[in-house]
Amino acid sequence: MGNTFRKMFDQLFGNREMRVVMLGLDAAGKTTILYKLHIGEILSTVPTIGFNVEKVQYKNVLFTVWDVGGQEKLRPLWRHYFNNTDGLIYVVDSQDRERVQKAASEFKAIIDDPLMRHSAVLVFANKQDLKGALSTAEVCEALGMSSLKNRKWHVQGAIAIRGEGLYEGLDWLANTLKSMQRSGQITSVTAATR
Amino acid sequence: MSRQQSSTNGFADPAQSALVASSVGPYRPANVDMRKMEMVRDMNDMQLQPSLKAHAQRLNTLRSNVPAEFRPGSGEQGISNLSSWMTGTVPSSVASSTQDAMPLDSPLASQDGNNLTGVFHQPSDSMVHTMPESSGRLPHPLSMSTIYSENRQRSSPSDFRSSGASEDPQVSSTEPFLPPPEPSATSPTPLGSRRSSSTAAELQVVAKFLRNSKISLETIGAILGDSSPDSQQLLNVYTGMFNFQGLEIDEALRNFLNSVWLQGETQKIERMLEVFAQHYYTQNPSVYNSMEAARTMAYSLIMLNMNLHNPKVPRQDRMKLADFFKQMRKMNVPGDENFPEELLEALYNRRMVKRMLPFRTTRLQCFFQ
Repeated sequence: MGNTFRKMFDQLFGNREMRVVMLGLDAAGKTTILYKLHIGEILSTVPTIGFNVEKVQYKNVLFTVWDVGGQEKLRPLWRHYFNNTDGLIYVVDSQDRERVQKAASEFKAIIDDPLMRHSAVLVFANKQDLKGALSTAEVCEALGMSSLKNRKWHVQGAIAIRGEGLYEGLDWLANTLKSMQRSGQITSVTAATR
Repeated sequence: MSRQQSSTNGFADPAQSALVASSVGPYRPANVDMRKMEMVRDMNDMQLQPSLKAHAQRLNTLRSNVPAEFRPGSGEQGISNLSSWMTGTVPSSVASSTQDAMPLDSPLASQDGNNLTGVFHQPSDSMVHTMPESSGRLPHPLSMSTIYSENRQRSSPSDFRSSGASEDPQVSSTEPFLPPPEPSATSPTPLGSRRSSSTAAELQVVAKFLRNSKISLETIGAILGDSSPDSQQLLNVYTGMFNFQGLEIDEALRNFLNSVWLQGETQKIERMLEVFAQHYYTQNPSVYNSMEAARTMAYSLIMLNMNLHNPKVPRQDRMKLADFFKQMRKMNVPGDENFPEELLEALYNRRMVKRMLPFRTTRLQCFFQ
């Protein structure tokens, strides 16, 4: 009952619920970003064993962000959460020049996933404050963003530990997804239509 | 369709990048208790004996067996006396003995220093002072922390190595230094390289300590889940202490999680589950086709636990049994076979009812459960 009212309320005021998956190599800063973004009420005091999930309310958009990651062999297990995903946040450690190629190939694999084919892509070029970090443009080039066809994408420089750049990125994501949905574009794919 | 508009937004603005350049301190994950980490590092730095008890006993012996002429006086003098004793050299001021300054409370203190096992070296006037004088003023020259820190500062820990009878405690007075120790599997490496390769005995002690101590599970998880080689070795040893024989994988996982908190970054969880699965597979080789299959199963169980019991997971995302089947389809490596459906169903039902919660959580948390 309460849920129904809430849905009506949400529709009335333009609240939307978006599903966002956050990916990236280890130590890229996903967890830090997740907990920097999480400023809403704490839903439960009970810690649950397992992976990080956070709900973030930002500008009428309720993001459910999944901290997905790990080895390629285990990625299929996460496909359940790729269902209906509207946005992808990919986090790159800009300072880690050695692994930027690995980050790029992982990125390519994720982008090419059929369940991800319509989702908007936000890349956080994290750790911009560190010495020798790749610039946003360099990250852009390393990931091969320019070769992405028919995608909405955005590369955002960020310093996750200080929270800089994160909300700019979310802004873009929220606005893009809203405008895409308003213009009738599909942002997510369900497994059934695949 | 035309290519969509794209944009980059970095810190091109010089004012902003200047702001950014005033850098912050080293990044530390918020949930790691640094003091606990320090403690473990200290334990690594000590020359650990097979058990902590033995180590404590040895320290007591050490304290009570400092020979008279090396007994600390006050302040810098006492410290340099002590340190020179520990490095096997004689301070220049030995003639003017300062033994009366610090009475030792142990009954052994009155005895001669020669009964010390393996650590004591005959003092000689011909020896040179080798300790750097940098060791600052310490509150109690003979307190445990002094011994540790002195121990940590020494360039070669060889003379502190064993309390067993294997090493000759007496060094001829013409030799200023101990002969370099024979490299063996159990002897500790010099300080610089010890970070990356701890000995098996050391790891055993730390692992046992972690398992029996009252350190919070979160901290243990943070320590074991770290990506440093030391942590990973420790994780191996720690996991090796469990007995999973004859247990179903979810029961084994539950046992394991009662002693370590598994939460947070995916890669961290993955590392730990990999070690867990390896250990489970070696103890139960007949249950799963391969180590990989066991790992996949453990991983999916953790995911299922999160899915079913984490309140932040939206309701529409909760997995039904059919979803679980679908998720696990063709995941039984090698050969991309399916797991038996009865097994999956049993695991799902058990997980549905029983959420994984370590019993060492607080009462309040259990109440909310």
